[in-house]
Amino acid sequence: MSDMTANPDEQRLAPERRAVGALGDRIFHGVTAASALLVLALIAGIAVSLVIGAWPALAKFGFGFLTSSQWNPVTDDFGALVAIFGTLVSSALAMAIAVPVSFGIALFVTELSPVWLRRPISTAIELLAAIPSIIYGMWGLFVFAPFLSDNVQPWLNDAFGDLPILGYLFSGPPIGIGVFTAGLVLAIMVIPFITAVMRDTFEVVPPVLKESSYALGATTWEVVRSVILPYTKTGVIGGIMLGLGRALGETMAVTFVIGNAHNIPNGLFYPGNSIAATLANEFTEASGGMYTSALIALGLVLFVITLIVLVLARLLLLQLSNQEGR
Amino acid sequence: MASSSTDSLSPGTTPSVAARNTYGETERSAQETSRGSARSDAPAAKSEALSGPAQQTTGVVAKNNPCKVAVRDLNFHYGDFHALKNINVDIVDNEVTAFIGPSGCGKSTLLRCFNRIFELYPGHKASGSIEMDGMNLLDRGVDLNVLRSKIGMVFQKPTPFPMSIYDNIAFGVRLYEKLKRHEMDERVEWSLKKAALWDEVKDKLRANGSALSGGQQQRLCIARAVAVKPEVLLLDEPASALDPVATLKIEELVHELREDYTIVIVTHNMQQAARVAGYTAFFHLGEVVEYADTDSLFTNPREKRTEDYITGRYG
Repeated sequence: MSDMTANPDEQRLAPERRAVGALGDRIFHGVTAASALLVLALIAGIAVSLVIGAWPALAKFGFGFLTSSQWNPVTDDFGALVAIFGTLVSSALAMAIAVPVSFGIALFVTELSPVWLRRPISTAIELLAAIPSIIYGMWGLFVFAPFLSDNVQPWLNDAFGDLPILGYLFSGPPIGIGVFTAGLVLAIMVIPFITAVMRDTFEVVPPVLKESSYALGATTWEVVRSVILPYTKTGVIGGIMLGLGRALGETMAVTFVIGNAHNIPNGLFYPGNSIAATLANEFTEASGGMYTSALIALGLVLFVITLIVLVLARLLLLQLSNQEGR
Repeated sequence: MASSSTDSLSPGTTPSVAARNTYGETERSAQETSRGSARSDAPAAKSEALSGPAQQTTGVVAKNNPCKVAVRDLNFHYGDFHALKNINVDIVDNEVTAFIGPSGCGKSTLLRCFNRIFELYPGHKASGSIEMDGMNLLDRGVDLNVLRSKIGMVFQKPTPFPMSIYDNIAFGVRLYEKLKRHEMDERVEWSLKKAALWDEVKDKLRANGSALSGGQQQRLCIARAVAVKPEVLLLDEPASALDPVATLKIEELVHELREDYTIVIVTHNMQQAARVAGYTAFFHLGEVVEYADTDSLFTNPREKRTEDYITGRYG
């Protein structure tokens, strides 16, 4: 400040500089606002074009499109149930495996691991996240599926195949290709994403908050459950949703290993199909207008499923924050 | 260190201090009979180690009260940094003891040794002994959870847990006791009353703890620590993040809690130490320079460094 007054030149320049600065701020404001609005426009554009493209199929099949398991390009009879089932079940399986594993990794890295081990594990996680999905697909098809078929599936089939409900998860031909394998590969693919987000959120818990719960005599698990998890719930749920979003929409890896059969599988070892895999496989072959429209309608269904997942996540967060008082 | 302490312990020491010391010594020998010989050995070893009898000031402890926690030859390292050097301090039972000193002098570090919270971090190491009820708290065999139920701690910044006010209190209690609903209600009310917070929150126990003001949050943290029924309360600059009114409330609270708990408070604020503490230890560069009852430490410091600090010449 004293420099400014000491230098008459600068004082004279000041008003001009302010004018430039104000203009710069206005431009900056405009550019950022435009970028933000662009997102809204994109979402709206995608939704509208999906609805327009899907309209012929939706008009013909109506609500039955969601409940029919027919998929017959020859007779132009289409239903989305098989693909919806495959998408939801493979993603659910993936999340059932990936969430606990990611939670464990993130917790170990942030709370329990010796310092020298933190960096290697974190780096490995980031590397896993950087592997393109087609590599996972190829690896799943050529390495993982045969391995499952030879070593894991027969054993699981014998051990659990006859149980009433659990048996569904582990029954079918042990051919390595199917909804089960797709779920496993998806789990491996989403673990790095969920882990990375969880680790980042666990890291921002103030040390003094952890200290004060340890100082009450809480064990690590009690601190995690009662303090760290509630404190980081937004981030943790965000991470899970990010993973779920990826699992629902994952195309290449799933296409490789899910088997691409248009049946509701009688067990998870059977081949099935997912929305994304159906689209990837059949778009190039879709000849008739109704075929293309049915595929676009499938895309619309996926879009809506993702939207529902997001809304559910919001509701869950809302309920959690109500629980801990306002 | 050596030079200044010998200087101030020269025959020129004020009569009052000398008198007090004599008084302390007599009281103390009475106590030693019950506490065994370990205690009488300690001062000798200590004065040797510190090359100055200044550290004998720990003798002040025996003035009226028994010693609750005895720190003996405690050394603390943060990695390579030697943060505490041969600390010998006796914490008086049912009294408030203040640790004062400039930043980085090790007073908080010593506080964090009492409940071994420093062990959360690799590379933090304490050696020596901290005795309470005939047990060395630094022993590997000590159950940390039990230890921390006996020694509660309140931190510099208020740290309400992300849960309701009620659950903030109940959380700690649930770790140790299975209480019925109405018993838990009573315990929550009791501890909130202890922390002088009940009247302000009794209508919103289900509200989130972070909805309270800073001062209220800090009293919530005190209530949380009290609810577990500890014997010792460690307060690490409990008022440093608060406004003057809230600070005053905390100080009043500390004054009241003194009747039921042994309290150790770390503070930057010398007036605060003078207001709340019966005994005060002055820390400098990882050593206890002087430890005496608060009145004589502030009115009649024996050490040059203490005098310089309390008159604001450095620190």
